[in-house]
Amino acid sequence: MLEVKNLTYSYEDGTKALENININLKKGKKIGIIGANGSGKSTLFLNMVGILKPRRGNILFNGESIKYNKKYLREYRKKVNIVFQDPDKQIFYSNVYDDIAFALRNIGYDEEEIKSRIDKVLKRVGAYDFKDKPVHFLSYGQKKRVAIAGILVMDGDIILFDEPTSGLDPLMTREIVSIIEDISKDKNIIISSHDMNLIYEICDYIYVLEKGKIIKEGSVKDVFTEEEILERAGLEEPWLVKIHKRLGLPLFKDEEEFFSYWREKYGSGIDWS
Amino acid sequence: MLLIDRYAYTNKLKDFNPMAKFIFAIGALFVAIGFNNLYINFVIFLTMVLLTTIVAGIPSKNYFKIYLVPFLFLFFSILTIIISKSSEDIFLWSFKMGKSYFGIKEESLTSSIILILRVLACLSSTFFIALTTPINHLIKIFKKLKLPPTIIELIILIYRFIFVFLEESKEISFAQEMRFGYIGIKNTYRSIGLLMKCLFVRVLLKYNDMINSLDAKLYNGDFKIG
Ligand SMILES: Nc1ncnc2c1ncn2[C@@H]1O[C@H](COP(=O)(O)OP(=O)(O)O)[C@@H](O)[C@H]1O
Ligand SMILES: [Mg+2]
Repeated sequence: MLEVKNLTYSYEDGTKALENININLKKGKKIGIIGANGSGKSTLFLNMVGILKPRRGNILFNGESIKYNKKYLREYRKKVNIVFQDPDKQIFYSNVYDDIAFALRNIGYDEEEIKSRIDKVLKRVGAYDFKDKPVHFLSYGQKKRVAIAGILVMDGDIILFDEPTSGLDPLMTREIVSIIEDISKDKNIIISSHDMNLIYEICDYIYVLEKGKIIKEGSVKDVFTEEEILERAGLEEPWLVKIHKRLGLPLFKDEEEFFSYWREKYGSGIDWS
Repeated sequence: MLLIDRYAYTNKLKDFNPMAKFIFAIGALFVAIGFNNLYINFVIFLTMVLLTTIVAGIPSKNYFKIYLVPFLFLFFSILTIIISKSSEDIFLWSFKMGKSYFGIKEESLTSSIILILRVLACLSSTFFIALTTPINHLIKIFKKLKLPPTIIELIILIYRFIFVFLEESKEISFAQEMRFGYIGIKNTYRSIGLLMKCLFVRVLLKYNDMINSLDAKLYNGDFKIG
């Protein structure tokens, strides 16, 4: 299991991006890291996958401090990997299949194994239908799926998603969310975002980042009902929390729960027919 | 952000009259090249180092790191100048290989030292201006000096694109590294090739975006500064 201990990171030019961060993946299966732009989410993720090396503190994997030699990192990244924010910067081929195969070919899997894994992954992210299209003809949301597939194909244990829905339209957002929900059934995931509605629905444990520091952690309900904390972090309450607090309704976990409550109580609403 | 750029915007001399700094550094550059005097060049080098590290407050460790790359070039050029071959032992120091001697002659040693100091004087003057003056101040100076607008425009755009380029290449190579793109020579070659292809496409796209945004900002061929 992954743990971040007293991590401090500053960039070469002196920007202090993270200060004394503690995160434990034991706290939840779907962990959310929330914070405004520039609060340090991406820097934290880069530290967690061993691309950046903390100035102070450690990343612990199964109780041991990760090492920064090639051999260790290779094995580590088979288990812990990341889907970056911009799919355009993580798709290198103009062919979907070759791109998803990239990681497996690099570590020398045979083509038969690669094919069966890719087929499985393509179906899982709903990219099977456009697998033969050139990448530059795909929409942004479709590229996002290819990017997710490229990581998922390694079949690791922990996947980090850096702002997985930024730049997506509402429909694509829903689809990516359901892909992530599906992945979280058999893997631990960490999601960074400043989309509070997304985090509220998906995650079970939250860390709030502000200017490189964690100013609050706790279960979804604990964190999202603390208005001052969210405000301090430059974030907004999820709309389900808003109607809970302002209208005195119960606190619903997702839209569906709210709708069925409403239906039960007031019927299906206006009869449009 | 690039280290050099960061220092240019944060050092203690950044608000000092840019024209004065510029004339001072360029003057030193001309003196270094024009007189090519060992002692003068040494004094220039020393002055520039002290001005940049102590007066402008740039950490000396990072300051000298910037010299590493040019020094690599300097090292190899000096190597070719300083070592010569002769059939007799006329050297200060030499070794014999077959019938001929390879070694260092006195005059090549002196000329190497002169060359090194000239390079140091020039480099330190250039670094002084680069590390203490933000680019927009430099552009103002170039305008005052009546540099052709096309050149100034090129400087602005190239400068901007250096950062776009660096940023993009870093992100793409991180993504490749996470997918084992740099394990072994073969993968590394392939990844570098892919990186270059991606960068090329990305930079072209950015270029298009930039043209559009320049149009939107009513750009008419003249970058207004100041
Ligand atoms: N390469 C870099 N060099 C210097 N500072 C950086 C670099 N990348 C990010 N930063 C700074 O680190 C802080 C955190 O950035 P980042 O991790 O990208 O935040 P987020 O992902 O939450 O938007 C910001 O202040 C940002 O300006
Ligand atoms: Mg980010």
